[in-house]
Amino acid sequence: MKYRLDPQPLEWIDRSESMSFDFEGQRFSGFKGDSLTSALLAGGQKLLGRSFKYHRPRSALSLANHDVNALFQSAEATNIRGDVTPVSEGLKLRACNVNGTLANDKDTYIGLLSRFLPVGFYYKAFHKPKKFFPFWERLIREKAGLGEISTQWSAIRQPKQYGFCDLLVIGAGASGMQAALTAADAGADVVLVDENPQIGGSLDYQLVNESDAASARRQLKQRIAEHPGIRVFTGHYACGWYTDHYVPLVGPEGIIKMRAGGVIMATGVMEQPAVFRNNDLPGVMLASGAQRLIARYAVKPGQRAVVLCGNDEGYRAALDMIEAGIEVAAVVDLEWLDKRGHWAEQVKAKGIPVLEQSAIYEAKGKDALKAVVVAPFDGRSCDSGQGKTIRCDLLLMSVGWAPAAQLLYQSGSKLGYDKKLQQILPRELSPGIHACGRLNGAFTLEQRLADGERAAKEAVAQLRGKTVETELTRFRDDRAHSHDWPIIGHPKGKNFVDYDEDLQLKDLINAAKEGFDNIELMKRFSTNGMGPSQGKHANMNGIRVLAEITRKTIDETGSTTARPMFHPVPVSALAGRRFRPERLTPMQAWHTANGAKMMEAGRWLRPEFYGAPAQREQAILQEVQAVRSGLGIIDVSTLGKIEVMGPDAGRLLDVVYTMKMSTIKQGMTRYALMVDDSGVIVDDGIVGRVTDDRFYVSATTSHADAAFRTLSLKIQELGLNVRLVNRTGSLAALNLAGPASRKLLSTLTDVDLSEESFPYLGMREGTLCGYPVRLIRVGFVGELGYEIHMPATAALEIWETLIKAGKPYGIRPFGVEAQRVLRLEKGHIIVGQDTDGLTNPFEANMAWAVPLKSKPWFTGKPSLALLQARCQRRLIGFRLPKGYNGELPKECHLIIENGEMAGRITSIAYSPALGRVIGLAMVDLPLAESASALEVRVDSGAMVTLEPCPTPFYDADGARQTADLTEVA
Amino acid sequence: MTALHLSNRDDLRGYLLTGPGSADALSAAGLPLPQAQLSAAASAEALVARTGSDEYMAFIGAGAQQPAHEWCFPRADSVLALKGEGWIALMAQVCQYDFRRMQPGDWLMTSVAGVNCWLYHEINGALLIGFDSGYDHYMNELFHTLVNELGGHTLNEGDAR
Repeated sequence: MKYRLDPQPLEWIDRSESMSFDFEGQRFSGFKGDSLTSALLAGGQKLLGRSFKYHRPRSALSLANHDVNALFQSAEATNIRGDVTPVSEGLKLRACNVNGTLANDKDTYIGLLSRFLPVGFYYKAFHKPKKFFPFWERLIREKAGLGEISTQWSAIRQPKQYGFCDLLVIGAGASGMQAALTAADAGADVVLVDENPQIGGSLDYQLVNESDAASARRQLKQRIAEHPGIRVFTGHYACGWYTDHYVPLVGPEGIIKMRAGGVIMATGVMEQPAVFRNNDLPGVMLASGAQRLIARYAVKPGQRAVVLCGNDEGYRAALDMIEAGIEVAAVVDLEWLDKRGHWAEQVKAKGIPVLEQSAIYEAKGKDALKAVVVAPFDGRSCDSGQGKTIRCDLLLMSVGWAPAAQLLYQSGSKLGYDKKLQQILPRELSPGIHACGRLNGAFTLEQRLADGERAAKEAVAQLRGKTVETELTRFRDDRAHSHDWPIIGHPKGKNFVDYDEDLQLKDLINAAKEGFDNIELMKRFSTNGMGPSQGKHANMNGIRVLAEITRKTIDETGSTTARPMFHPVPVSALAGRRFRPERLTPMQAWHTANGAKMMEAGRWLRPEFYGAPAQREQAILQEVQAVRSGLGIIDVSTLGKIEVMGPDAGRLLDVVYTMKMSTIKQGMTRYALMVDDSGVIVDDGIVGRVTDDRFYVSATTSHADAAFRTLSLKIQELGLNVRLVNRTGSLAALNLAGPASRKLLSTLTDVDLSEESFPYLGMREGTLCGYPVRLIRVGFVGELGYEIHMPATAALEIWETLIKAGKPYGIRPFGVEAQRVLRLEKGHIIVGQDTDGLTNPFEANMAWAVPLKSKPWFTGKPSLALLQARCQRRLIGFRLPKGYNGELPKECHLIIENGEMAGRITSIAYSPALGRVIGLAMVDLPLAESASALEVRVDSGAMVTLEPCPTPFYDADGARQTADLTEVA
Repeated sequence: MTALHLSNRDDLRGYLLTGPGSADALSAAGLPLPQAQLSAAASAEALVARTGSDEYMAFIGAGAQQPAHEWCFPRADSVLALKGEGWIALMAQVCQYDFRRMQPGDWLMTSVAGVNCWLYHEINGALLIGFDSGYDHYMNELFHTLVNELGGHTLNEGDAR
C-alpha cells in the first residue's frame, strides 16, 4: 500500500484489520473501512475504469458516490461503485465496460473514431439501408451498457420497514447536525440520515485540518450520540421525496419507508468539474475528492499537484495536500488573488506559486496525467498562445458547486440562480420543507451552524402549528463559491461536460445548433445527465453552456426535472419481502390430498381439476361427465357471501342490482346482475330473501370484496337503514350437482327437498350432518343441483360426508375447468371472461336482466338507456363441425372479417354432451346479426371457420335443472 | 426483556353483532362493552371491539357466555399473539402503522402484509392479530419466518436514541 499515509485524525479505516481482494486478476489489500477505490489507489492502481463510449482511461473523481467511471463487477453483482463500496475479504472484481482487460481494452479504438460519432449520431445513422439495421442493432447492443448482468443470479430480497419521526434531517454535515440538535432540544423526535458511514459531512474532510472546527465537530457529534431525541441512520440515503414527507431511506439492509412530519434538507453541495481538454485523465480529480481520499482513507492521491481554483475552497485543498506531503506545484486561479481569503494567504505564505487569471487549457498524458498546460484566462476563454506546461500527476479542480437539491425539487420547492453566490439556491419552500447549510448558500462554519439552527426552529414551530416567517437568506454568504464559466474550449475537443456519457463541449454546442436549444430537449438529444450519476457533475455545466449559446440567464434556461430516485436503488431493495396473500378454503387439505391441481382465482387457490397434469384433458372430461350423468361436487367457498339486513335492505338491493330484488318472495332467489354507473357489467350472483327484512347475496370470487364495498357505499350515499355482514370467510360453500344430488342430499338433511317444497331457485335453511346450512337450488352447471352454504368450521366434515355418501352414485369432485365447460354448454357467461371492461348487458345478450321500463332506478340505468340503442357488438355462440381435428382456436383469438378484426373468442371448450367444440365470441354487431360463418385466426396464422349457433348449447329448456332427473332419465 | 414469541389463540370464538340491541345482547351475556367506536374492552375471558355505531366484534374464551341476538353471526378468525422484545420491529416490516403509538388496550383495524386484520394490544403486552382464517396458512408462515429472522433483533432505529 505504497500510497497509504500515516494515520489521519478522522480516518474511517481500521488499520488493525486487513482485507485482501482481487481486481483484474491482481491481488490487493486494504483495511476495514476502505472503499474499493481507496484500497486500489493505496495499492498504486490508478486506472480504475473505462469510459462509456470511447473507452478512455478513467479513475477516481469525487469519492462521493458519483464515480461512475470506476464501476466494478463481481460474479454476483454489477456496476458496483468503487468509490463507496467497502472492501471485503476475498472479493473478486473486474472493471465494467471493457473489452478484454482494463489495461488492454480492445475498444479504445472507438475514441479514434469520435469525430465520426457526433452527438445524436445514433438517431440519424443506421436506418438505411434497412436490411443492415439488424447488424447495426446487434453491434450497438453489444457495445452499449456498462456492467453485465449474470442470468444465473440468486434472488435477493431485502425486507422493507416503515419508520416514523417528527422531523427528518437529511444530511449530517455541520448544518444538518446542528439542525437535528436544535429540533431535538425543542422536543421533536428527530431522525438524522446521512449516506456516509459516519456523520460529519464536509466538516470531516474539508475542514479536517481547521483547528477552529475541531471543537464544534466534537461537541456536535458527542451531543448527537447522547441525545435521546435523535436517531441517526448512517449509510442511508434518501432516494426520493414523496407526498406528505414520505421519504424512502435506502441502506445496506434495505429500504426504510420514513414518514416524517417535516423535512430539513441539509444535503449540501456537489463539487463540479471544470471543462477543459483531457479533464478526464486519471489524476484529474475534484478537490473535495482528494480531500475525502486523504481524510477518510489516508490515501495520497498523487505526488505533485496543481490546484485549479475558482473559489476559496481550492486554497484549503492546496493546504491539505501540503499537509499530506504532496508537493503543490502551483495554484491556478481563474480570478485575481485579492478576491480570496485567508486560505489563499496561507498558500502564498508557503511560497506556492499562484497563477492568477489563468485556467487549465489542457491536461496531458496518455493513460494518466503527466502535465497541465496553463494559460491566461479572461473569464470566458484561454489565450492558448501563452500556455505554460507544468509537470504534475495530480490536478485538483475547485471551481464551484451545485446544490444537492434533487429532493427539494421533488418536494415542489422553487429554486433560482443567485448571481452573488453563482449558485442555484432555494427561493420558496413547500410546506413542511426546510433547507439549510451550503445547499442554502451558507458556506462558512458559523453560517452553516446558524442556518441549521434557524431551519430547525422554523421546522419545530411549523410542526406545532405555528405560522413562521422563513428566513432563508439570513445566514447566506455574500461571496461566490462557484465560477460562472469554468469551461475552456479547445479545437481538439475531449473537454468533457458529462463523464458518464462521454459528452464533450462541442456535443452540447452542436445539439443546440441542431435546434435542441431547450434544456429538456438538449438532455434527451445529447443524453447529458442521463448516465448513472444522473447529471450530478454534468447538469450545471450543461445549463451554463446552453445559457451561453442562447444568451439567456441561468434562470431562463432552467434545469431538468429531478425525478425520484435521486440515486440508483438496488432492485433487491425495491423488491422487498414478498407479500402475496394466499387464501385457502376449509377443504384445501382434502383437495391436495386427493390430487387436485390448484390454480389461482384472485387471492384464492381453487382446484383446477383432480388428477395428474398429464391427464388434464381426460380428467376434466370425466368430471364433466360425472356431473351430467351422476353426481359431482365442487368447492365454491370462494364466492362472496353477504348478509343484507334492515328495513331498507330491499331498497338497497334494488339500487345496486339491475333487476328488482325487493319483490323476491321469502325463500326464493333471483339472478343478480351488477353494472357500474357507465352500464358496464362488473359482477353477477344471486340474491335470496331470508325474511322480510333480510337478504342473502352471493358475488363472484374476484368481486366479492368490491361488491361489499359497493353495497356499503350505497348505504352511506342514500342514508339507508341497512346492516351488512360480509360472511365470505366465515361461511364455506359447495355445489352438489347432478341427477342424483337430491337423492343423496335428502338422506343427510332435515330440509324437505321435494319439487313442491323446494322448487328451482328456492333457498331453504335447515341442518346438514347436524350443522346449520342454507341450501340454494341453482343451475349454473345446468343440472339439478344445490349450493350448500355452511359454517367454515363444519365444511370439511360435511364435504367428506357427502363424498362418502355419494360413492354409490359415482360422486366425483370437479374443478374450475369442468365447471367452465358445464356452464358453457348452458351458455352462461363468466363475468370477466366473457365480458371485459366495456361490456354492457345488451352486448352480453342479457337485455332480459335490464328492466329499463319497469324499474324506476338502478345504478347504471341512465347509461344503459343510452347504450341500448348504441350496441356495437354481441356475444354469440359458435361451434366447430363434429369430428373437427384441425388446429383448435383459443380464447382471445381474433375473429377476422375482410382482413379486419371483427371480434374475439371469449370461451371455447370441447363439449362432451354435444361431442364437438363449442364457444362464445364477442362479435361486431353486423357480423353477429348476419348468421354468417365466422373466420378466426389461430396461433399458426391459419383461418378456421366457426359456425354461429344459438345458446344454450345444452338442455335449452332447462328441464334437467328443474326436474328430478332420476325420474325423467 | 423477553424473546419474541408467536402463538396461535385457538381458544377464542368470534362473533359479529350488528343492529339495534347488539349492545344489550353483549351486556346480557356479561361481556365488556366498549364505549367509543373503534375501541375495545377486555375482560379475563373476552375481548369486545366496537366497530360501528351498533356493530361489535366479540371474541370469547371457553368460560364466557355466547351473546344471543337476531343478527349475531359466528366469525371464523384466526388469531395470532405476538409478544416479546422486538414486536414493533417485526410489525414495522408488515404494516405501515406506527406501532410505537399503540398502547395496551388499543384496537386497530388495518392491513397487515396485504391482509385485512384487526389488532388488539393486550394489557399484558401481547399483540393479538386477527384475520380471516382463509389466510391462516399464509400469515402463520410469514409470521413464523419473521420471528425466526428477527429473533433477538430490534427495529433499525439508527445508531443513537
